[in-house]
Amino acid sequence: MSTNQRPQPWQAPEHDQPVAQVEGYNFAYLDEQTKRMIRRAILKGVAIPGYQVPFGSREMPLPYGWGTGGMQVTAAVIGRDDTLKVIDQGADDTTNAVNIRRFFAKTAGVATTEKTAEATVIQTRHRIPEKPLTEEQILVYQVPIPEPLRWVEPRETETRKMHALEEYGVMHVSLYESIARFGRITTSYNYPVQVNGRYIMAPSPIPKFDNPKMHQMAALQLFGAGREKRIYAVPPYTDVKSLDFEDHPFTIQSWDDTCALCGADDSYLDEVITDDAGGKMYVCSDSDYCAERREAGHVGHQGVPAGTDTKGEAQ
Amino acid sequence: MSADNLARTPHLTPGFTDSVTESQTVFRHLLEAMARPGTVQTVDIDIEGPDTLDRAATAIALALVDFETPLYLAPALATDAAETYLKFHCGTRITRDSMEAAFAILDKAPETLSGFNSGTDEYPETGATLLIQVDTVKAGGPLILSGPGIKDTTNIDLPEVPSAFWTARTAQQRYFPRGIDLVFVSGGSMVAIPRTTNVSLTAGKE
Repeated sequence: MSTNQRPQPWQAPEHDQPVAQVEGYNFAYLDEQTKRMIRRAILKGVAIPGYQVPFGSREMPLPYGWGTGGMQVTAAVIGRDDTLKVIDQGADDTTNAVNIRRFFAKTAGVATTEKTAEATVIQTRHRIPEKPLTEEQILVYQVPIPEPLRWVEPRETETRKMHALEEYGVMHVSLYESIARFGRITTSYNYPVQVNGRYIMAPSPIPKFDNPKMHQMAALQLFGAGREKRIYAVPPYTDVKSLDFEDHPFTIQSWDDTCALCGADDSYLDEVITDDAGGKMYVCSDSDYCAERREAGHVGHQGVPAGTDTKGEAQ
Repeated sequence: MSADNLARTPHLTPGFTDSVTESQTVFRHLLEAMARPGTVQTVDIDIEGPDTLDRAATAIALALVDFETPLYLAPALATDAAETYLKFHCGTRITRDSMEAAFAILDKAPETLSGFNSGTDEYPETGATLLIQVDTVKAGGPLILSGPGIKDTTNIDLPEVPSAFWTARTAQQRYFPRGIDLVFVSGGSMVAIPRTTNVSLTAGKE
């Protein structure tokens, strides 16, 4: 694509249009030696659930913090027959998701989709799709800070030792301090979990609403942290327990409202400010889930039936 | 490599024909096998590897072994042809010291796993991966597997692996996260038993 054809901000996004594979790159961008190294790290990650395997993270053509870890895992895993879905905070149509999807469409020529059910590999930033994943799918998380103990112990040498010795008391202390100060555990995202009764793991900054979905999930879950150079994994059907106390059990977020567009009362809702007078609406963060519900005929209290415009007239 | 050079290396047969696609395919089979212990995965790739190696073992070596991962071959498998093949196609170093091997290809289940590196508590991922060649791997059978990747339990049959091996392995599991990950291969088939998988025998087998 030449520069004068670059999509401008005022133009509609092109994410649903097919992108031609570009010449001059290896399949899925990374070279084969890098992929072998990442693949070995992934396999050991799967063999030791929740343990962060160090790997030689490469520079990707976008900055750290934009999903370079997840992209490297996806690049190592993906094959020509895969169908890729990428979500950013649940949405398929945000900048990060669109760019990563186009990146793999260009460098690997793989099929892409926005439908959760059609995808074989789903790369995600900060959400787990609402639709339960299947055994045929792999979920790849983008992880900014893979070390759950980092906020209580800044030294890598110490956190490594704490993981080795299963010395996790300090993690519970930090949760207890939250209860002592606020009367409840205030962590609402990146809520620490214990995998298979052993390693404490950062689930990446997903809302704690999504934590229960990780438990005994049918799909394989892979995590990639590019800047921190760590890969870890949760195999399918593995226990993932959110840390809590008997008298302060783990709870997930709930809303008094339902999705304004599709009326869902079981999905994670984003608050959207609609005017300068404090007006707001709640909508599903999972854009595919919301669209699918609307297509199935569900209408929220501010929504219009699928296939009609904002005035309710047929398109 | 030119045809001339190939002629001067009589033992050497070709590796993958499309290394990018085939490496990825083999890796995904192994990933699936590791993620779902007890499921039998079959590599459907035609490779003309060394005679002593099973097709799945050759494929895994071609896909994952390189200069960063010393490879150990059991004496029965370490023919000139096999070593030349792996050195050339993988660029790996063949080691005689099983303790320093990241990958090992064995012709049978070892009597003890203590001859292989099981990593450290701080870096458990340095534990070795053993590719163990057997005549038969099949789903259903006297071995009961449970653990991560397995919904409830699953059964497999590895008739050539003696029960003493499983007893020794179970004893070693208490050192988790240190451990050794096993891949049993037979022809193009593979079944993985990572260190987290609990293996027990149905009554009557012992």
